[in-house]
Amino acid sequence: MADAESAERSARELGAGTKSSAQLNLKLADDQIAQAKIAVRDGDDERANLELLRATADAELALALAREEDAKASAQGATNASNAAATNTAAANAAANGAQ
Amino acid sequence: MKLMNRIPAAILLASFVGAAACATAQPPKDLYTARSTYDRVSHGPSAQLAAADLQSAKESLNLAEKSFSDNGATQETSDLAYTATRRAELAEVHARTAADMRAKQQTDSQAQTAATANAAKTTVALGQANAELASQGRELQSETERRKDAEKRSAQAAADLAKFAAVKQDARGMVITLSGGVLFTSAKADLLPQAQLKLNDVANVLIKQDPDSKISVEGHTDSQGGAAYNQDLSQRRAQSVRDYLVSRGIAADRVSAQGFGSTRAVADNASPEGRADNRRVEIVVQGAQAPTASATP
Repeated sequence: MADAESAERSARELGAGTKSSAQLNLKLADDQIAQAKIAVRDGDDERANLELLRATADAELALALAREEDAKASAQGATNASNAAATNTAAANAAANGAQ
Repeated sequence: MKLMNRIPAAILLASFVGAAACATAQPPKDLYTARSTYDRVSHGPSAQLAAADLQSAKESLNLAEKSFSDNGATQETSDLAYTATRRAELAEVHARTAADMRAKQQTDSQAQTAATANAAKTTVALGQANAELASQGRELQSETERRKDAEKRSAQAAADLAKFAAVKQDARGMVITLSGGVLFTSAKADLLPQAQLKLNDVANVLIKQDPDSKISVEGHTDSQGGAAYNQDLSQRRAQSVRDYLVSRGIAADRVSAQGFGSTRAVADNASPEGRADNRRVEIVVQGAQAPTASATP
């Protein structure tokens, strides 16, 4: 139970609940943890373990998707900054050549 | 005994039927999905960028396959297959993230390289501009000093001239007037010995002046005699003075000679004194300044 809940919490802290790519898997993890709790309450440990196995896999995937979204945004930001710098450099060179 | 013989056979038959059922049972949908997902991911960049995650996915799939093989299409098999699918997807996501991070690092590195190159380029350009500015400053200083020196020499030359010749300033520049009677015998263009001494002093002064200034030697006569004769005589006298100055070191291309005959009288030709004043040679130094108080020798 602890592994699944820990992974779910990490995913949520990284914003998986608000990131479209991760929301579905986070919801699935939540549902499966709830199912596992019901199974524990019913004394069906085997069912609980399998639900937690699924929940852990979904929570970890949600966490990875949230991180991916951050990495993609960061890479895009770097590309935009690089393009802007290249444009500025080209403009500065053109101005310098024009001034000569 | 008969019964005893039939029980193992029944068990054997049941086992056979169970095994046959398992062997022919259709895998659950989750297992199909897990197999295809793993197959897709394992043929993508995850093999290089997320090898550990892919291995974990493979182990999960093996567990699901074993569960299916041992127990058939049970809920456990579906759960294990579901987990295997997620593990494969996790490997795929990690691979994409790694690729994004690599791309970002590459972009950052390129941007850093470009920034460094730009900084170096700017530094070089700045150095060149500073060197050019310094060079221009030196040239300006040199030119200023040269002009000051030329002005000083010109002023000194003019002051020296004023000691032995009539010097005045007009629109043409500084005009040094030498009496014709001092320079030539009557009707001749050959310089007298004392004229040469005087012209030596003039040449010494002109040499000290701005070497770029032009010098015009102009010959003039009084009105006695024909105009053509006077024109010829004034031209020859101007030429004679010009040649002598050149022989004393004045650059030939600085000095020209021109005769004006009696056309530019400065005094009345009716009197002997006026005619004496009109018989003259003027040395015009263009752009030079005469001393403020002109003097007559």
